[in-house]
Formats: sequence, C-alpha cells, structure tokens
Amino acid sequence: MLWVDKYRPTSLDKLDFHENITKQLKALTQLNDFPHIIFYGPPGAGKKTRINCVLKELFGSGVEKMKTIQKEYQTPSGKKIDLNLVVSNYHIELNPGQVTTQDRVIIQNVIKEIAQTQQIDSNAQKRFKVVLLNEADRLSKDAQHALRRTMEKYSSNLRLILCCDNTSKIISPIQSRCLLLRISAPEENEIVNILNQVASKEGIKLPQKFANTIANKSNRNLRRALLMLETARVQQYPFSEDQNVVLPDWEVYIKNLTNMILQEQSPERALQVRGKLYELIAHCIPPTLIIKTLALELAQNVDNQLKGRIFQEAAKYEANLQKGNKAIFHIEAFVIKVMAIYKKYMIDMTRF
Amino acid sequence: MDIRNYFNPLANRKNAKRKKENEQTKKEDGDNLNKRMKVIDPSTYFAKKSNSENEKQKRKILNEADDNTSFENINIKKSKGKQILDSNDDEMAVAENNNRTKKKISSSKVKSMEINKKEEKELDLPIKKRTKSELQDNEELEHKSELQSKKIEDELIEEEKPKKKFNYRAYLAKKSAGPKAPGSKIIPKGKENCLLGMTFVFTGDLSSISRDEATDLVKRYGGRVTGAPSSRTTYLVVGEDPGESKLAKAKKHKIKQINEDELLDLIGSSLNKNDITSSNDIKSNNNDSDLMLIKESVKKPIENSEKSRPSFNNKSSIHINENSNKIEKMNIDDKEYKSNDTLLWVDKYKPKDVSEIIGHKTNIDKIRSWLKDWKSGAIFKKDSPKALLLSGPPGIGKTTAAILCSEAEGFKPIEFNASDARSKNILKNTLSDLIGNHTMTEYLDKNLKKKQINNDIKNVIIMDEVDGMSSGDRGGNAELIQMIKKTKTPIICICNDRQSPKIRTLANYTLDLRFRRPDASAIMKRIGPICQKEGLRFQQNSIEQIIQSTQSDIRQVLNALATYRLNATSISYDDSKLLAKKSEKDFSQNPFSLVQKFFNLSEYRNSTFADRMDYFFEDYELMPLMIQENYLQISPVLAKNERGRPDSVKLLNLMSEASDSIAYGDIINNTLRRTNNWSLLSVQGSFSCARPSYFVHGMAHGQYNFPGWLGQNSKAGKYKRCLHEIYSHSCQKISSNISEFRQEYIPSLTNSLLTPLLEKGADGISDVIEEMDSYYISKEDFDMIMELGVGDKSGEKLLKKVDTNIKRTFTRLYNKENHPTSFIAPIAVKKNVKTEKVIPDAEEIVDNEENGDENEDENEDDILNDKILNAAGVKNKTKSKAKSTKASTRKASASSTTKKRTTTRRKK
Repeated sequence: MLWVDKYRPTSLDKLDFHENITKQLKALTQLNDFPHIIFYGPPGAGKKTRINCVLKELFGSGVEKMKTIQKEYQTPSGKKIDLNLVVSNYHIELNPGQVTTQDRVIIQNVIKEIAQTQQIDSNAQKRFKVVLLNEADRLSKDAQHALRRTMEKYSSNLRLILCCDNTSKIISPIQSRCLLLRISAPEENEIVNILNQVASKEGIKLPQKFANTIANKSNRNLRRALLMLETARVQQYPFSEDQNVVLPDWEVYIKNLTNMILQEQSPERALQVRGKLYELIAHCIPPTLIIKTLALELAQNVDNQLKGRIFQEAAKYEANLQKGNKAIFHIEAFVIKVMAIYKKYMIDMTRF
Repeated sequence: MDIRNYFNPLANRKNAKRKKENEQTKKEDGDNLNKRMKVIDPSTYFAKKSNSENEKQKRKILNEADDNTSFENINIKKSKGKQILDSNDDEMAVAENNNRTKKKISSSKVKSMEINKKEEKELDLPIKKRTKSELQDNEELEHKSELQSKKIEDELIEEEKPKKKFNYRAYLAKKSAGPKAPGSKIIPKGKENCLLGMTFVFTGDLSSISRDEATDLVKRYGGRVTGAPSSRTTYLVVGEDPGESKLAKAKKHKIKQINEDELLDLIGSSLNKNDITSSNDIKSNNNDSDLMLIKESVKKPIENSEKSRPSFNNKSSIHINENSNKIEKMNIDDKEYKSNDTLLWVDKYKPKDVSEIIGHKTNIDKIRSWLKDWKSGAIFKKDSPKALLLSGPPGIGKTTAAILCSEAEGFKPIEFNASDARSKNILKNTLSDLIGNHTMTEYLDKNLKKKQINNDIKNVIIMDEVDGMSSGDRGGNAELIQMIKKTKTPIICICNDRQSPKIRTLANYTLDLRFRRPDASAIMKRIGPICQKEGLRFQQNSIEQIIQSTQSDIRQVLNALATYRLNATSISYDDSKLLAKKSEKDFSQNPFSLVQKFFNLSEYRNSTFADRMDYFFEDYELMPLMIQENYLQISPVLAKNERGRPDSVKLLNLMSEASDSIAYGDIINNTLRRTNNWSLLSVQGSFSCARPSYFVHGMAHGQYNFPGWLGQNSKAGKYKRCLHEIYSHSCQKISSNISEFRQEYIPSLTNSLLTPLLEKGADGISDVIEEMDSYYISKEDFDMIMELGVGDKSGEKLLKKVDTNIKRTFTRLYNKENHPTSFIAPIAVKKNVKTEKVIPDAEEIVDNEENGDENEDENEDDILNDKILNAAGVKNKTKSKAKSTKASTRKASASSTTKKRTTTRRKK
C-alpha cells in the first residue's frame, strides 16, 4: 500500500495539523446534536481524512467495515443508471459526480431510502446515519435543491457530510443549513514535518533539503508530497540533497507542450499541439487543469511584458471552456492566441 | 477613339445596346423596314487589331450620329472625332431650325458615314494594301513559323530536361486554387450557338477563368469539349503550362491552337458581327447608295473569316433560322399544350414495349430467358433460383424492365411495393393465395382462354423496393425467402441498395441481376424526341448537362424537364445548369466536398454567406467538426502583408480569429442543447462554419481529414469509464476524489506497480500483487492503469521494457492466487423495485472457496424466500458455472465475481 494511505491518521487524536479544527470536531462528536457539515478546502489538505476520523469517533470502528455495492436506478424517462456506493452499517458514501446529468434522481432515491429507515442497532452510539457526499460541488443545481428539503425533513435520522473543494458552487440554502468547515492546505513546514515522520516510520533517511524541495513542489498538497516522496524513493535511493522531484506524467507532458509552443508558432505546430491536447484530454486530465498548467508554464518562460497578457487570455478561455462542450476547441483557441501574441512580440523585438 | 474600349468588351456591349435602341427609334420613325438587306454574318474573328479597331470606331461614330439628342455624350479626343462632332453640331443647328428633322438626321448620318469611310481608308492603308490572298498567305506563314518554333521549343524542352514527374498532389492543389487572376478578363457575350459544331480541347491553365468555367462557356454557345485532341477537334485552347502529349497530338492532327484571349474573342466577335448586321440595317434604311460602300468595308473581314471556317458559319445561321420558325410554331402549340396536359411525362412516355427500354440489353435478355424457363417448366428441373433480384440506382428502369419483360412473355405482373404493408402475416395471407391463382380478366378474355390451358402459370409477382421492407414489415423478408423456396410463380424482387444487410440473405436465394446507369447518349436518344413532341427546344449540351447532374436518372430528367416546360419553351445551356443546380440540392453531399466549399478559394468566391449557411445545414452536427479539423491546414489568402508577401503574424491572427469563432460556436451549441433553443442553430452555423471560412479560405495542404474529435471523444469516454472502474474498486482505501485520483495516484501507482517488475524481474511479482490487493486492483485494472498515463512516463511505455516472460508469469501467478474484492454484485432489479444484495464485509470474502459455497446456500434461500426467482436462478447458474471454471482453470474469485456481474447484467 502506498504511504499516503498506509500512514493516514485514523482517529481524531492522531491528526497532525489544524489542531483547532480537531478540537472543534471532537466537541461536536460529543454533542447529541451533530450538525450537517460541509468540509471544504484545497485538495490534499486532509478533508477526507478528517471526515473518516469524525465517523469513527461517532460510531466506533464499525464504520471501517465498508463494502462497495452497485445499485441500479431508473430515471423517470426509463434510463437506467448504475451507481457504486460505499456503505457501512452506519454511513453511506456517494460520488454523484459519476452521474452528471441525472444526479437529482440519485440524490432523491438514495437519500430517501436511507432516511426513511431508522437505525435499528440499539447499541449504536447515535440514532442517525450519515450520508457522505463526495465532490458535492459537482452536484447539479437540481440535485442540490432536491437535497435541501430532505435535509430538514429527515434530520432526525440523517446527517449529511459534504466534501468539496470550494463552496462557490453549493447553493446558499444548503450552506445555511450546514456547518462550514474550511480545511486549509498545510503549511510547508507542516508538510516537511509529516514527510520526516513517514520517513522515520519507513526507516529511510530523508535529507532536509530534499524534504523542503518536495514540500515546495507539492503546492502544499500533502497527498502529492507523500506520493512524490514515495516515487522518489522508488526512483533513486538513498536520496541525494538536490535530487530532482519526479513530476506526474501529465505535468511533464504539458511542460513539453509549452516548449513546443514557444519553439515555433505556426498552424502546423498548432496542429501538432492539438494532437497532444487530445491525448491529455482523452487520458482524463481535466481541461481546466490543462489550461491552468499551460498558462503557468508559459508565463514562466516568457518575458515579463507578456505574462499578464497570457493570464488574461487563459482566464478568458477557461471561462469560455466552462460554458462550452468541446474543451479542445477552447484550449486550441488559447494556444493559437498565445502563439499569435508571442510571434508578434518576438518580431517586434527583432525589429528594434 | 478611346483605345481602352478595345480592351473593354463592356463598352462594346454598351455600344451594341445603344445601337439596338437606335435601331428601334428608327423603326418608330417609320423608315422603310422592307428595304433591310440581308447581310451575311461578318466576322471579325481573326481580323487584325487595327481592323477591328476601325470597325469599332466606325460604329461608335455611327452611334454618335444616330444619337441626335445626346451629343453631350460624345467625348472623342482625337481630332477626326472632333471634326465629326463639329459637322454634327452644324447639322444640329440646321435641324433645329428646320422642321424636317428626320431627313436632316439621316443626311447627317450619311455625311458622317462618308467621313468615316475616308478615315477608315486612311487607317486601313497597310492592311488594305494586302490582297486577300496575301493575308491568307501571311496567316499560314505565321502559323507555320509558329508551329515550327514551337516544335523546336518542344524538342529543346524534351532534350534539356527529363520528363517531369507528375505530382498529383500539386496538380490537385493547383486545381483547387483556381485561376490565377480570376475576373481579370471580362467574358464577352456571344451569339447563341456561335460555337456550334466546333470541338474544343483545353490544355494548361487559363489565367482568368477556371477550366470548369471555360467548359461551361464553350458549352453555353453550343460547342463541344473533349478530353483529348483528335482529328475532329477544331481548336486546342492552350493555357499556361500545357500538357505535352496534347500538344503533340494537336500537331499530328493539325489542330489550330488558340489561347484564352482568342477563345474569348471568338465568342465576343460573334456578337460583333451581329452588331454590324444591325448597323448595316440602319444604313440600308437610310440610303441605298451608301450600301455599296459599307458592304465593301465589311467585306474583307467577312470574307477572311468565311474562308477560315465556312462550315460553322453556315450552320449557325441555319440553326437560327430554324429556331425562329419554331418559335412561331411554338406559340400556337403552347395553348394546346397547357390545355390537354394531364399525364406526367414519366407516365406518358413510359416504354410500352421491351424494345423501348433504354439500355440494359443483357439484363433484359436474362429476365426473358428466365421467364421462358418458367413457361417451359425447365425452371423446376434446373437448379436455378426461383426468383430474380434486380438491383441498381433509382430511375433507370428496373421496374419498367420487370413489368415489360413479364408482359412480353405473357405473364401478368402483380406488383407489391413499399406502399403496401408487407409484414410476415400479410405476405403469407395475400401472396400465398396468389401463387397458383389466376386473375379474373383471364376468364373474361376469350382469346386468352385457350392459351391458359397451355400454360398454368400466368402471374408474376414483382416485389418492388425490397430493401425498403422496414420495421413495419417485420418478418417480411424471411417470409419472402420462404415463399421463394416453394413458389410456383415467378417472383421478381427489386431493390436499390444491393449492399443493404436486409438484402444479403435474400440474395442467396435469387438470381442476381445488376442494373447499371445507362450512358447519357442512350438516354439522350429517348429524351430528344420527347422534348420535341412536347415542344421544348433544347441544345444537345443542355440536356446532357441535366442527365449528368441527375446521374442518369431518367425519371428525374423527365420530371425536371416537365416542370421546366410549364413556363418555358426552350432550354439553353445556362438554364439547364440552373435547373441541375436546383435539383442538385436534393442530393446530400458528402462532408468532404462540403468542407471544400468553405475553404477552397474559388469555391469560396463563388458562394455567398447564405450558401455557406446552407452547407452548414447539410449536416449541422458534422460540419462544425469538419471545419475545426481542417482549418489549420489551409494557407489563407488573407494572410498577406501590404506587399502581397505571406505574413506570419497575420496568418496566426487569422487562425486565432477562426479558432475563437469556432470556440464561440461551441458555446452556442452547448447553450442550444442545454436550453433546447434550436433557433440558435443558425447562429451556431455562422460562428462555427461561415465565419471561420472567411478568415481562412485559400489553398489546402494535403487532403481534408475526417474530424478527429469523434474518435478522441470516444477514446476519452473509454478511459473515463476505465478510471471510474478502478476508482470504484479502490475508493475505500484512498481518500481522493476521482480527478485527484487520476492526477496524483495513477502516476504513483504506475511507478510502484512497475518498478518491482523492472528492477527485480520475476522476484518482484509478489510485491506487485500484494500492492494490487491492498487497493483491490484486479489484473484488468492493472492494465488500465498502465494505459491511463500520457507521454514518455506512461505505464504503457514502461510496460514495454518489462520482459514478456515476466509479464506472462505475472499473469499466471496472479490468476493462480485468490484476491480480495471490495465489490458486491448487484441483483437484477424488476420494475423499479430496488433490491440490494449485500454480502458481508470484504474481509469475509477473502477466502473464496468457502465463500462460494456460502453464496450458493444463500442463493437457495433466496429461491425460497425471494420472489425474484429469475434473478436468483441466473445467479445460481453463474455461480455453479464459475465454480466449475474455478475447478478447471483455478480462476480467482475476483474475476469470477466480475464475470458473474457481467452475466447477470447481460441477462437483464
């Protein structure tokens, strides 16, 4: 098992950072009146870890006995949807992002199903069950509206825990019914701390400088930092002080793409770039991430005068991309725009 | 005279127009029309420049003289012009004072004519000095020397450079780019049928018009265009970079070579002679004595031209005469025509006899001999098929052939087509009765009665449009085959699409006869008389054009012509082009030719915004994708700087504009689909197709491609499903959401799963399997993870480095062992009743052998307790099946569970 999962804290006591929040959570679990909670924050900050800890605190180790079941639901139009649920005796976990268009049906059916049955186990510490909604920001507006009534109606049997990157896409009626908990990304020194902890548990020697590099390169994403550490361990051990951090495949790929764009600006090159972009999108790299990474990489490699322009264009095309359907069109338009800007800039430079 | 006018045929046309008007006014003036002299068509075809210049000048002066009310128009700069002007002015003054205006005017004309003549003589001196024969000799000499020099040149070329390799790509690109300077020359209007009887061959690139346009031009005036020069070719039109073989052939057949300008002159001059005719008319009206002079002046060019091409001149004039006769006739016919027109032409001129069918000789013979076999009973002895399958494109006479052949052989055709319901039952009930039956009319007809005794079979069943037996005719095809097997009546099946899967089985039981499109000349032979009968005047070219555009669909040709006949009595080449274009819209065009219409320079110039929108609507799903796929491959004509040089910044800006527009089109499309607001479709069309084509039209590099987006999209869908599959297996153990899983976990997993194999070889296998089990990753998931990476570090590339033997042992070892799974199979749901089958925890499944038995016990309980017998039964079956396979191949429980799942789902 990868180290990220191997050394994941399993109870509130073992959590490393954000002690305030840990205390708060502990207090909440002691209360009889446990609220609906929205955990939000950047990826790799420890949202899910905290949720699991809270569940364990609430129900004991029984929650850890989980299984995946596949259910089939039928929409009013007769379309069948398969859904994977992770369930324990005390909670149920949903990834509604899997079913983008018909998530309303899923929400209504699953949640009502659970909410209508009471906790039978008399030994259970709490009278309610918990529904955990991952990627809650990917729920459609319809689904969210379906949720708000259910939350009140079945509040005696049911608590919701929502988990998402940010709350901007969650409608305010739901936000007002929940306790909002922001889990911010760990500081770099906190990451270094944890890296050291893991290294000592694994019995490997981690040079301080390399730990810092990893922490820096991870963008304060703890998951990423730990995975990087492990990948680096696989690549080269013992570590040297200034070892290169291995970046994930897609990031390397986008770096190459950036070089391609800066080397030559022509329709032929744009055609080659298109092929690469297709490859990225097909391999499940989210288009917004592509455009973002591309803009960052480009900005690093061009003159200061162009940086602002590139970010401006990136923002514009990213916004368009959200409105559109075929992501490649927008990314390609961005690439060609950047090419045009860059080419003009370079030609003007040589002229003076 | 303004020298520009010479190069400006437009001005000539204006002149001609004015002249006609003048002529009319003259008529109104009551001048003697009867005196009008019949003048032979003078031709200025190869008249020297000065000659024609003179003529024009003369005409212009004439004009001015005629134009007694608008002298202001005259702006002749040359002195002689001014002289005339003065004289005219004098005349005007006199005319104003005098009441007899008309006479004055005419006399002024005479005077001006005289002056004109004198001048002409002066100007013509160098030419006039030459005698006719001299002229001709010169011509020949020139021609010869030209030929010789060409020959030498050709030889030189042949010697100097080895034969250039023919580059098809370059040829295509050139062809698609169109003429070099389109519209640089104004195409003159000629007289109708002025090229009649002449045959043209084009070689090389013409500078101002494309090859197609040139072909049209020649055809419009009755000429013929062939591909290769032969002895019957009249002219070889030589453009830039001509084909060597064509030139050689032309030399061999002594074909006259002309260039583009000469061709245009040839057409333009046909009108000029007309002008002269009219001017002559005027003159003849005015004064007979002038006539001789005028005649003399025009004679030379006329005679010259006469000698050079006597045949065509005569022909055209005769033809025109014929036409004028016909028109008068037509006027009478027209009334009749409209009153007693009830039948469609298609029915009216249906072949009444086998011999009248156009083409298909061999097929008809085959049908007839097959029917003869039926008559003689030989069909039952031979092992030949009991049915025919006629296939071919619509409108070429399949049904007609079938009906006429059976009638000719003494059978009564009973026709079933798509308008009849042809399901299994209906066929069974109606047709099976018919087989072996007789029609009532047979008994009524006394003559037939005797025959009937001789042969029992009198009916033939014609199943028309068998490929159209669709969802409504369920089982119809199968029943038809059954019937064919045991029929005692001949059955003829007719279809359009021989490749259709519906036909495939049927074809095994039938004799396959394929009908090809008859060639245009065969159709022409039949259409011609019909047109004549219906009083539609036509040119051979125009009908051929229609036949071509309908792809030899006789029915459509007739329908098109019938419609056209409703409000016209003659059809010219241009009309037919228009007609063809109108009916062309009914054909769906393929996306590749459509995308060319957006990007190709000449196609772009020839179409309007509305046209482009139409092209978009041909296939509004595919066209935006086609545009997006191909716009980067065009080098746009607009990408040039002020000096006409390619400009890379401008090019990128254009591309950027185009891509922006395409991206906006996508946004609109998304809005359209989300809100179901289909009125946005035209907006999308302009953004996705029409607008980009404005920015990037020009020459294409290479071929147009089919949209890659479609393939990439389905690929993306596949990988997305894979990712979901892996994620759903391992999501208990990991903490991320699915996109983070792809971005962070997949690269790390790839690494940690492959490095042991790469470093330790076979010893690393157990490590890998352990790692996989910890995340509930199956072997299939393993393969998928390897596929999900991109670039050099993807698992796919790394996996290639792993020795195949190790891979094999890895697979074997993995399958040998049992693996935990987090997954629990669902149970089939009946009618929205959701049941969920939860097998205890994942830890309990680890030992599969016992677990399997447990499951079976449970299932037996299910059968007793659960009402859903079916589902349980299925499960039970698959379980035992899985168990047996386990015993034999030692398959892991994990894979069997997945297997189980898929089978249950399939059963559903």
